[in-house]
Amino acid sequence: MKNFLKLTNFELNRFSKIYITLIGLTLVMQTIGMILLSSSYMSDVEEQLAMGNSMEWITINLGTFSFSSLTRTFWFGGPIIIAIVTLLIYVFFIWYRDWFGKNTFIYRLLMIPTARINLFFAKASTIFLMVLGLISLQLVFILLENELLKILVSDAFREDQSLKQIIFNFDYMGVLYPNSIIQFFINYGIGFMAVFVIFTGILFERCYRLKGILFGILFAGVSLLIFISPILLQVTILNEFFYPIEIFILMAITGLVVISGSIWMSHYLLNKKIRV
Amino acid sequence: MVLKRFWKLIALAITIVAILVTYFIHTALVVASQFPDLEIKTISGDKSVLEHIAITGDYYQEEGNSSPLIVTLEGSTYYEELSYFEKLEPYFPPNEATKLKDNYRNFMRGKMYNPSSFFDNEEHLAYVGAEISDWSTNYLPEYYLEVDVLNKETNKSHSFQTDLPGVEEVNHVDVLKAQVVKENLYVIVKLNYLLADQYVDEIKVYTMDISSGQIVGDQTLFDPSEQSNKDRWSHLSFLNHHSEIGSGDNLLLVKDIGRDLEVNQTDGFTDEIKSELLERAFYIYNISTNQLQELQIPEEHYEKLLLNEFNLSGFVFDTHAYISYVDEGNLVVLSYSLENYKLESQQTYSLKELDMEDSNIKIIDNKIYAVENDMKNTAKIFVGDVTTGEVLYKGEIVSKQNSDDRNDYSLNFYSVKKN
Repeated sequence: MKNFLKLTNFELNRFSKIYITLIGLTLVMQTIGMILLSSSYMSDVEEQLAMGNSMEWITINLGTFSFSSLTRTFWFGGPIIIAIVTLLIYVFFIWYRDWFGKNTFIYRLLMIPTARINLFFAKASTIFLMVLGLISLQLVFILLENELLKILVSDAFREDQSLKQIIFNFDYMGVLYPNSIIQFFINYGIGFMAVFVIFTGILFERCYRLKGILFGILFAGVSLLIFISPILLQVTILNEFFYPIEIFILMAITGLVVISGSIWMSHYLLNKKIRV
Repeated sequence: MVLKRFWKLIALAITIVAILVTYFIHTALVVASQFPDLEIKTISGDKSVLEHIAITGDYYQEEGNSSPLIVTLEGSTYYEELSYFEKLEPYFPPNEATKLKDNYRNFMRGKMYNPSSFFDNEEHLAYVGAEISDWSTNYLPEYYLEVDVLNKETNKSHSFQTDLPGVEEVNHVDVLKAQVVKENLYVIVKLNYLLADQYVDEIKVYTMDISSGQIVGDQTLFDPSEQSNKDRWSHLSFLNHHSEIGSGDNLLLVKDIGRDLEVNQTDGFTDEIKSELLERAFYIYNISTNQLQELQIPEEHYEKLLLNEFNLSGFVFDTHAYISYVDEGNLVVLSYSLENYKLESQQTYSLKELDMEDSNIKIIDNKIYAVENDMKNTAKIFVGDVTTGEVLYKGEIVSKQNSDDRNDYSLNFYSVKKN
């Protein structure tokens, strides 16, 4: 356990600079976006007021300013997409940097007197923690930016939105921030299962190189088939046989099968087949 | 020492847990406070007439939140407030067919929970579903009937599929009723198709031999060619088939004939098509005797029934068939005996005092229930006795909280059910 924690902490430290940059980028870009958009809106409003138009006329013709005015722009979604892409790349890079960095660091990692699967778990935990960290900080940022909005735009032209409305109005945030905690575990459980499978695929490649890419893709394909097999059965030969709750239970089981298969396979590859 | 070494890991973990826990508590509280708790407030009469009654509808809020809901004497239940697992149930509010699932879990697998597709008595539970096997080259669906009959004594079910004989290019097939009589399964379907450039309804009664899975009888209740008139439209509907799994033999049918008129608008630019009802006839079809009997409507009611095309409801309960309509604030109920098909009594209740212009009507156990459907934040309820004409109950669905600050929502009730 201590070795696992040490390794996780080590992995976090290695990425912390880029990670903090991502957090900073998100906060800065979204704040700048909020300031730019609201001041440009307010200057439009002032222009109209100077032209003698009534406040009512302005709210009808220019519209009111709400948090959604920001979420629809690149200022808000841009850093989120950058963070997602960076973490996706890092899912691969977290392994390959150990081979391609200076003086093949993987050699030392594999020699640590601990179960080698701890390496796998430490890297996976690092990804999970960083994903969840960004997800939670984004929530805090939304609240901060919403307070900023209240300072920048006067009451008359502002349409206040609750956290739930902001999330509801922003398409893919519904997936990132579901209403029910069970849906949250489903969405992120599937995501983390995918990370496990990709990790195993990477290890296949690291063990068998070119041939390993094929094994890795095959492994991912089989995992996907196993995971969605209840749905495949439901729509093909069984013809709506299962009740929704049964599909849920079956997919929870196939999901666990995929995760354990992935861990078992990675354990085997790391212990027996890994090449440095 | 440990803290210092792992501070990044610990800080990140604490941040995640603290924020996400707060978020989910916040969301749960927001969802809980989003929907007003509704209750039924008595204006006059005895509340007990609403025991085992569920009033179902929709809730709409200006900000865009909406949810189906059920109101009973115990209070309100919103679909959106249900847990993740409760939401997995495919139907809200539950209907009579979804309730069968609890007792016949295996039999109910893969079936469409349309109550009129089911028949339930002490010996049998039967299902007939109209399913689409393919689409023809001219984009018309090809239907077949999926039949499943459970013998409750042996707990064995017999399922088979059958084509619809005498049905070719059809637009839509609707199963209106299934009924097991001895060894036969009677299935009543409504077909809608194009006949001489006019969409017509055809009601067919199929008799199936359960053991062989063969259709042994095929009968048409109304000649569709009679309906095919260029200047007229015609509709056939069952008034008592929708939400119940009836085991009774009698079905109440209405046949409407009307025409579309082009009305010139005063502005001279747009023509509005107005529909006018010309004829309306009511029939009782008895499945066991295979008899179709027209009900005689007294002159004074007939005129009003023509004027109130959409304010019509009909029910069959026990020994009586009921036709009910709302006219100028009055709720009128005509009761026909199923023994001699004669008008036995007529009751008129005034809804004017309650100001219930738009209401949904339902007759359950000799009582008539009217629930206001006017997209306001309250809805009035009226209950009357159809045999004596007595007014049993008047009440109103209101918010438990003082609703002065919550009038940004509207309620739309569309059904009353036995719970």
